[in-house]
Amino acid sequence: MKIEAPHEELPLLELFTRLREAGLPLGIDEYRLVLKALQEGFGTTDQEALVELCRTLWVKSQDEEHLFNYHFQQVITEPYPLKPSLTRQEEKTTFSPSPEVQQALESQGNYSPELPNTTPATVPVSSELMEVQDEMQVAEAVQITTQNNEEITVNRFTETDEYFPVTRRQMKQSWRHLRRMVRQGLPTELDIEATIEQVVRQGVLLEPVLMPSRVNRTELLLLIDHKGSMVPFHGLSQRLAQTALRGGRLGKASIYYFHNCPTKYLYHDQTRQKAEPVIDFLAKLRPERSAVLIFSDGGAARGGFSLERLELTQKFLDELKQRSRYIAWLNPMATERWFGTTAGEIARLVPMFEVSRQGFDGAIDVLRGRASKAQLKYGL
Amino acid sequence: MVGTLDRKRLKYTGKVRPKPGEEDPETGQILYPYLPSEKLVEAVNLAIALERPLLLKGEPGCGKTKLARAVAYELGLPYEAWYIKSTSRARDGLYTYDAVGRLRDAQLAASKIDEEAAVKAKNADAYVELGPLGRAFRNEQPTVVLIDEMDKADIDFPNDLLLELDEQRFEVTEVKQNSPLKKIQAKATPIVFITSNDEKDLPDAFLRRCLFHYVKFPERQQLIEIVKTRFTVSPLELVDAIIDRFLELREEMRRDKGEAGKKVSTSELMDWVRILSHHQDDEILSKLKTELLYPGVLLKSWDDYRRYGEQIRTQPEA
Repeated sequence: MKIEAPHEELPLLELFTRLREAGLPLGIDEYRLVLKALQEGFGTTDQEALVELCRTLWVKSQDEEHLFNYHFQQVITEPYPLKPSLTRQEEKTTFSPSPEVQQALESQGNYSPELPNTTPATVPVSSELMEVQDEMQVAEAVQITTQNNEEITVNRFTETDEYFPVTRRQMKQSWRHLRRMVRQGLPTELDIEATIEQVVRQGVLLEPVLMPSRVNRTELLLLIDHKGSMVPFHGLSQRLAQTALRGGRLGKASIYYFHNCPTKYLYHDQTRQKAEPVIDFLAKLRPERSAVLIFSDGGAARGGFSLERLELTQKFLDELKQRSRYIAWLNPMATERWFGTTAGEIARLVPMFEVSRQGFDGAIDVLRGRASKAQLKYGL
Repeated sequence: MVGTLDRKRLKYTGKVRPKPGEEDPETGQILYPYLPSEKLVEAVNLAIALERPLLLKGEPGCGKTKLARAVAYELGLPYEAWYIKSTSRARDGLYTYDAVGRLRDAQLAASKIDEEAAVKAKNADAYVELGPLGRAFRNEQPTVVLIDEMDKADIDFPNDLLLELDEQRFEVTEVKQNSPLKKIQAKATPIVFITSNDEKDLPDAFLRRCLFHYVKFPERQQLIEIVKTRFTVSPLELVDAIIDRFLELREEMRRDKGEAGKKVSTSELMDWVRILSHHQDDEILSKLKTELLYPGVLLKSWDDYRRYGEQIRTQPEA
């Protein structure tokens, strides 16, 4: 079996590793799938067929296709030779008088086992390569060197914007955990307990008893810090807002904007045209239902400590705590950067989390009413 | 795996197509020829050989849904379609259990109205009805299964199908352990096509198990082929004119709305050609130059209608 051969002889491994590096969700199964397909005779006619095969098996969306094309080009043409031995190998095959198709095949299947010269022993340079134990390092190094080449650099950017710490899908999944279910509305679901009880009472089943279905009554209020030091995170905050509004299945979700700290007004729009006094905002909160999530760097992005900002924030938070039990703070800056800044101090007042999968889930947990005190940083 | 040997021989070419006017023997619907691109044919064969579901994406109306029927037709295999709705649950595709019906029968039996109901109500198997995937599993032959617009369902829906698609078996929880319906194992691996319009993201764990193909909008030549195989009457000159006009409109829309906007699609072209074929050829040829005939067939929003439907009429005057 090809699968058990040493890794130098595995075809397309280079491409596979690079794609994994680039974040495509590929596992050993996907790799074996390509081997299996190759063995069954798919994608062996020419290079185009091979590209198509790998694309069908490894690429799952248009964005990934972009990444794939870039890496495939890199691996096949190899503008900056990663392994000198291989370029030599390719040169040899190009000069050999083999038919065109065969040539194409060999040049892309760098490691194809049919080639006689791939074993390290016959290639003198390969001993150097053996020292590079981590292929990842090499791949990175190549990426850095290729950055000089402008054409390629342009191609490295994809249309996707899913390279944030938390993807849209993950956000939607996490929002879903934020729920307090109550039965409400028209009776549509079968109430088995009540139906049985009725049958017992009446001796015969006349009609099933229905009950309203369960709906989520959590009302999310997302307060987003906008402009200033938050400019780099606008994409992230927009995504938070979008996923909460559309994919979250929350009872209700409202978005508010502020700058640095909510003082007198909160705004319904990013341009801060439609204002709502904070007093009105607080009056609308319903203690059992409302969950408030604040998205702000709390001064951690620029660093430094501002007593004024801390006091204003504390004032707002104190008022907020009177009206809502579920409050959490999401900080786009990593936890390590909070120390010594205003954010570090704010984290003592309210459970604060960095934006990562774990952090986001933690914030949602607090909004659900779990362990809010325990989450306070540095304790009280 | 049973049927693996047979599968080796299954090869889709896209060349075997129904004759004009041929009907589906089961539903009585008219079958239309389907012209896949070479890459699509390769992807289908790959999916058959590797026994993996094939996920099809592409803009609406480019023929994602029709592929499955065409494959089933060429290979002479049974065909099951499962149209997903926003309320669909993964289990619906496998089986449904009529608990209320059984309760009713038990009641009828208890009140001595219907003696037969008593026998029936004792047998839980009678209330299990297999869904499209369930039927495909029970079939001796490999079945072509279409799971249409999977993205419409809940975001957890695809994950709920992982085991069933992977190991091709499921259990009916409602029936007794010794029932023949308890454990259903696929007799032949079904050929599964899944379409998605990208309304929701599909989970990675699910994507991992699928092959993916993006169905592209057909090239001009392919469009002509499609029109020619579908409609027998039109002379080449007319087909050319219609398709030119159609592609022009599409290009205009692409320029205005970008790649993501709704553009006229193959299926709309089919409708358009059908309505145009009721007219005299010369009449169409002369009119196409000045106006977009029957814009309502192609333009589906008021905005589009105003922008593209009327524009060409005002151009000659200006």
